[in-house]
Amino acid sequence: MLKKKLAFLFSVMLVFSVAGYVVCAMAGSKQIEKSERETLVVSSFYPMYVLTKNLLAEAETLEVRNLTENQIGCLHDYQLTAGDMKLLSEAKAFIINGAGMELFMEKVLAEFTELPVITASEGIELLEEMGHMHVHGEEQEEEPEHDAGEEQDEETGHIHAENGHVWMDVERYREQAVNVCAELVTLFPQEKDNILKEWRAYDARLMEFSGEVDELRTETENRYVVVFHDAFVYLADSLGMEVISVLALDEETVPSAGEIAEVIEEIHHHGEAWIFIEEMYASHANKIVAETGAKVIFLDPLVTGKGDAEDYLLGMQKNIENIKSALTE
Amino acid sequence: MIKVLELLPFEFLEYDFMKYALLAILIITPLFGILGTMIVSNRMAFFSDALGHSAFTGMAIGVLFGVMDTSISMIAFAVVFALLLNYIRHKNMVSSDTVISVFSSLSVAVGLAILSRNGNFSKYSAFLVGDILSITSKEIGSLFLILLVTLMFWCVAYNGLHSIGINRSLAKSKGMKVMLLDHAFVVLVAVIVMLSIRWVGILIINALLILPAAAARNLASNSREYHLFSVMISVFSGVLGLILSYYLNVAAGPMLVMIAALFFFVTFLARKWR
Repeated sequence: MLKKKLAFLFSVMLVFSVAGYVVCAMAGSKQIEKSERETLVVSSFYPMYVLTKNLLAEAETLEVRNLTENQIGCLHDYQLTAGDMKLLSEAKAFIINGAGMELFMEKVLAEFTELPVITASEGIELLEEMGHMHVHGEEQEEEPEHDAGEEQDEETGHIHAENGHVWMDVERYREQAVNVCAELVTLFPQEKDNILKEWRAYDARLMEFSGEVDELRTETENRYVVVFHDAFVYLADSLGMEVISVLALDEETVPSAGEIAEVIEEIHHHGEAWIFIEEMYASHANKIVAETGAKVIFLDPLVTGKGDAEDYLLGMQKNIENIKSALTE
Repeated sequence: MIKVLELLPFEFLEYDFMKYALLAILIITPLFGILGTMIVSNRMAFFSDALGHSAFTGMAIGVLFGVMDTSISMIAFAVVFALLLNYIRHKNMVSSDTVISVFSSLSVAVGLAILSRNGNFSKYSAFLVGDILSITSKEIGSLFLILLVTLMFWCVAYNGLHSIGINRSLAKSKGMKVMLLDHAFVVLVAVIVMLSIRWVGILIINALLILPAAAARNLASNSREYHLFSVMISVFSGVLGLILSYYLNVAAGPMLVMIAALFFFVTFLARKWR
């Protein structure tokens, strides 16, 4: 009887295995496409991908691939698939933003001991992660909530009190480009000339854009702003604006009534303020606008796109245009 | 062990992360297959489900107190929670499934409330689905240790647990330490569930515990067969699930549960053999 049952069980297993094999074959196993250029460089997420793509535009042997899909956005909740792990195993360099943006990767990277990791934000002065802390322009008081912010990453054993969205400040983004460029040149000396040439061209354009930002700064300086994404803190910083409140949103959370009330109070306290928010979350600002008449400006944190090398500059240009039009309205 | 795996002709084993994941599966699945048999026969499926959900609170407490390794706080809380639930289960005051449900929802709510403060829940959402690919060699070591402990516990306590499952009063009248055995069992389940929840995921860990045993029960006509089938189905679902998840680029946990569920349906239809 046992034999009969075992035979039954084994035949079920066999059927399942064959069915599984067929499913895999039909789905077309996700092999990494062989790249034309021989060496693979992998970036962690969109801004790093665009940056690296610019630097490697002319490199003959290097190709950049983005680890996460270009539509993923901020990486806080990203989960690696087997395909991503395969890609990392093939990579000869991994470019990350650092400053806490790739926390989900830390454990994984510990397993890839031989993969050189280039941290773009290394040595760049970071702004503090404000979470829901409110900064009072005049008093500059340290609020106790600050500690809570530092605790949040005990899970991974790291203190994550800094804001990692550095690319939103074009000057800091330029520094990131310098860091990545320098590391790439050391790792791949055979491409030195190509990488440096592309970097010079890109940097020149970034510098020109930075001039535009500075021009705008004269009009935006010392204005108050409420931001709905940590990334916009850097943009506000580069425009000399004063961030009075940060409401970080993601898909799973909505601001609580108490938080909205605090923001409204904060705006009343400062007289008037702008609101920087992503268009998709516009509805979250409705109540604040109704209460305070604050002006809403739609911005893009530049974490998603079609994968075009121009995306960073175009996106930033658009952000700046939106702010300019708010000035003239 | 790694060397042996390299000899196998599978493309997916080229990568270290898949070797580790496979090793982890080969340890976790027999463990769950064995424990599942007892959970199913003693009608504790709902109990273990509640236990899995308590991981939220355990994690939240760890985060709140700044514990470096949240698995410690998770295990500690789960053990307390398991003993509490066990106590309630045996006090037949209110229908115990209602009480278990109350505690289970409460622990989920407390955990979610703490973890989602400051809008940070997305950081923990990986726990919902689990991520077997990020397992490290050290963690595999601790899983292996718990497998050994379980096997030893099983050799010593199986008969006792089994008689409790059949008739509690009778077991008690025979002078068995019913409460002690029962508590030891739920503590073991709590520890194992908490150690593997990171890899399997809160949402589906109970399915992994219940399904292989439930499927095995459809076929088996004695304890020996029951255990054998349960472990076989569990290991097979685990390995096939992992391989499919690799080629189809989906998370391993859900794949594994789907295969185990298929086993349940097939064996359910084949029940006439019993």
